[in-house]
Amino acid sequence: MKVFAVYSIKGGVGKTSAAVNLAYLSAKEGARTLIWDLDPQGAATFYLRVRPKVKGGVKGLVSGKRSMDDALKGSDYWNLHLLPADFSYRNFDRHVDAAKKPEALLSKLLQELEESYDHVFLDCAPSISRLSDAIFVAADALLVPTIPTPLSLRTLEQLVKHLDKRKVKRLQVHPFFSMVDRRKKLHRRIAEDPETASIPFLETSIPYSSLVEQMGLRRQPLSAYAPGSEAGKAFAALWEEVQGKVG
Amino acid sequence: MRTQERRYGLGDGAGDGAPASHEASAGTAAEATLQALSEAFDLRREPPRVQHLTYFDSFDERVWKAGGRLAGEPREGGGWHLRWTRPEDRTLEVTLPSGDPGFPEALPAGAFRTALAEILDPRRLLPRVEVQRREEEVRVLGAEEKTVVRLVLETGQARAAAGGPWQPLEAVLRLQPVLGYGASLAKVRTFLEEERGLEAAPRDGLVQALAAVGEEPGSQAPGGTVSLTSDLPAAEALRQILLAQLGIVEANLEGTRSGLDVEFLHDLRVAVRRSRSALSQLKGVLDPEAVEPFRRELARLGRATGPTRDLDVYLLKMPRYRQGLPRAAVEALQPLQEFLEAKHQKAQLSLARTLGSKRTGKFLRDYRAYLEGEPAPGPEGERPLGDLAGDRLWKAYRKVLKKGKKLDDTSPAEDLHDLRIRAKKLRYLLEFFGGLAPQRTAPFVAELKRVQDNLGDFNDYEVQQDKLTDFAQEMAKAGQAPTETLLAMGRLLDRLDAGWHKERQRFAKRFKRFSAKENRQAFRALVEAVWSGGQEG
Repeated sequence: MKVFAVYSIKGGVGKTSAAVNLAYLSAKEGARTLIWDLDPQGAATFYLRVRPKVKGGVKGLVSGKRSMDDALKGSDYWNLHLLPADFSYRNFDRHVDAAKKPEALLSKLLQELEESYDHVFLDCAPSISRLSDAIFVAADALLVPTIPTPLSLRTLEQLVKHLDKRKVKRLQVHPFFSMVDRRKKLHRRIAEDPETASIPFLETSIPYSSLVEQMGLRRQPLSAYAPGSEAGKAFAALWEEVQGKVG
Repeated sequence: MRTQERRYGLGDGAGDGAPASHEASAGTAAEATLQALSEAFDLRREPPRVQHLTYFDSFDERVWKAGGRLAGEPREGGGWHLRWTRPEDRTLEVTLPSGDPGFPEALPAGAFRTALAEILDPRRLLPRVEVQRREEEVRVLGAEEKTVVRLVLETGQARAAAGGPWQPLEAVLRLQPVLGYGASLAKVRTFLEEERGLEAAPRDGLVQALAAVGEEPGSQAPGGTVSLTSDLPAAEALRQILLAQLGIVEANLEGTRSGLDVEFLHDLRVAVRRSRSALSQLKGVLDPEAVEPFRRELARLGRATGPTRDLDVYLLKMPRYRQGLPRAAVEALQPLQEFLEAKHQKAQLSLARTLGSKRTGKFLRDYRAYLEGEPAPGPEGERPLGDLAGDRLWKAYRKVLKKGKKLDDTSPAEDLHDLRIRAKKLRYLLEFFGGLAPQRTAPFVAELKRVQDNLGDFNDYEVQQDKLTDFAQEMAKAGQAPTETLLAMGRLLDRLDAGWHKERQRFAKRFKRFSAKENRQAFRALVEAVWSGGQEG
C-alpha cells in the first residue's frame, strides 16, 4: 500500500481536485484506491456525492471504538472508495495530541487498511498542524500543488524547512505547479523557471481551467467527464509521473 | 473486500436466441424487470458494452479446482488482458503484450505470474470456452444522485474453445453492492426477490458458459476412477478399470502429440503403465489369448513414450540442478541445455509420428471395441472381485516386504530398483481396488508413498548419472562439448551423486517405518476388509 498525501500549507491551490482526479485515475487502472478526506470542509466528499458523515466522528476512529471499515463508502467508480470528511475533523489536532504517540497515529490507523488498498490518497486540510505532522509520517509521498507566484514559492520553502527540521526521512516531497494561467506572464515565468532551488518540481503542471471548476457542478472527477481536455491530459501525465517516482 | 455480488437468472435470452451485439436488446424478461425497477427506484442506464471473453485453464482445470476463474479479453493489436478472480484472495490482472496465454513464464513478472505458476507448474493455460457477453450497467441512485447499488444485465452466447456453433446464454441480472450502502442494497434485493420473484442463479459465468456448450467444469481431464463393488465378477471389474485408463490415454493423446505441456505425456504414460500392470497382475481374469495383442501394443506405446519423457524430466530438473553452481559453470552448461533441447525435439517428432500412426489409431479403436463389447472371461474371470482383489493385494504386499527386508546399506542399486517396481505394482493395485475399503486404504497409501518417493528419487539420480555420462560422450563425439562444458557436467555429476547417496541413506529408515508392526497390521486389516466384501469393521 502506498500513501500519497496531497498537501499544501495554503488553501485554494487545486489540492482537492488533484487528489480526486489522481485517485480516480489510479482506480481506473485497476488499483484498489481510497481517498481519505481529512479536510473538515469536505470538498472531496462533496465531489464524490457522499454524505460528509462518519459515525462516531474523529473520536470513534482515533479511539479504535469504530472500525475504519465501517466508515468506508464506495464511490460511483470501480475500485475507488472514500473515507468521508466529518465536521468533527476540525478537532483532529486535539485527538492527535492526546494520542500516545501523536506522530504515529495516522500510520497506525492506516495499517488497518493495508491489505485492502493499493493506493491511499490523503486530501489534507491546509495549514501546518499536529495532524499534518502525523501525515508526514504516514505518507510515502507528499504531493504539493503550488501556484506559480512568489508567495506560493515562499510557502513551499517554509514547508521544506519544516520537514528538514522534523527529519521525516522516508517521505518523498514532490511539488508541482497547479492552476497555471498561461495568460499571466508571472505564472509563465515562474512555471518555466522556478527560482526555488531547494527542491525540484515535477515536470507536469496542471493548467488553470474552467473545466476544473465545473467539478463542483458536475460532482465528478474531471478525468471522468473530460479526460481528453488539456487539464484531463495533465492529470493523466501527472499520475504517470508520480507513479514513476513513487512506484 | 466485501463486494460479493448476487446473480439472478431471468429465464430468457435462451428463448429469443438474441446474439450478443450492440443492436440486440437485453431481452423481454430483462426489460420487464428493469421497467418495474424504474418505477420503484431512481435508475440510470449506461450504454451497453460487448465483451469477448475466453476462459482459460490447464487441461486438468487447476484454476477452477482452486476455486478461481481466469478470463481473458484479446487486445487490439495483439496480446491479451487477463483477469483472475480467486475465492480467498484478491483478483489479479495482467496484460500479455503479445501472443496467446500459455505458460506462466511468458507473462510479465509480478503477482499474477507467481501465483499462477504456483498452481499450474508444469502445465500451461489452454482456452476452455469462449463467450460473447453484452453487459448493461444500471445504477440505482440515492440522495444527491449518488450510486448506491449497481445492477448489471448480462446476455450473451458461448461456444467451445475448439469451435462449434454459438449457444445462447440465459440472461442474468447481477446485483453488486456499493460499499457502505447496505440499506439500499437490502431494498433492491427485497424488491427483486419478493416483488419480482427472481431466484439466485446457481451458476457463475464460467459454469453457465460451459453448460451452454454441454460441458461442466472439472470434466475435461478424466480421472480414471471407477466405483467397484466386491461382488462384481472380476472380469467386469477389470474391463471397467481398463476402459477408464483407455479414456485417459485417448484424452491425452492430442496434447501429447502436439507437445502442449509435459503432463499430457506423463498422464498418458501412467495410464498405459497402469493398464499393463492391471493385465499382468490380474492374469487369467480376461481371456489371455484375446488380450495378448492389446498387451503387446500397450508395451509398444510404453516404449515409444519413454525417450521423450526422460528428456522432459531432465529439462524440468535442470534449473534445480544448476542452482547454486557458480555463474561460469552455469554458462558452461548452455551447450548441454541446447543438446538436450535438440534431442527432445527429435524424440518428440518420433513420438508424434508413432501416436499419429494408423497402427496406433487402429489399436485404440480395436481396444475400445473389445472393452466395450463383452470380453470373454479367463479362468479367473468369474471370481467375485473382493476375493480376487484381496488375494492379489496380499501377494503384491508380501513381495514388497520380502524384498525390502533383505536390503541393507550394502545392497546394490539393482535390488532397490527391483523393490521400486514391486512397490509400484502394489500401489496400482491399491489405486484400482482401494475403493473397496477406502478408509483403510488412504493411510496405508500415505505410508507406501513415502517409501516410493525415496525409491523414485534414488532411481532418478541413478538414471540421470548414467544418462549424463552418455550425453557427455555423444556431445564429445559430435564436437559439441568444449572442455568447460564437460567440466561443468562433471560438477553436475557430483551433485547427482550426492543426491544419490542422500536418498540411499534415507531408505533404511523409511522402509523400517513402512514395515513396522502397526503398518503390517493395518495392511492385514485392509486386505481382510477387501476379502469380506468391504464391510469394514
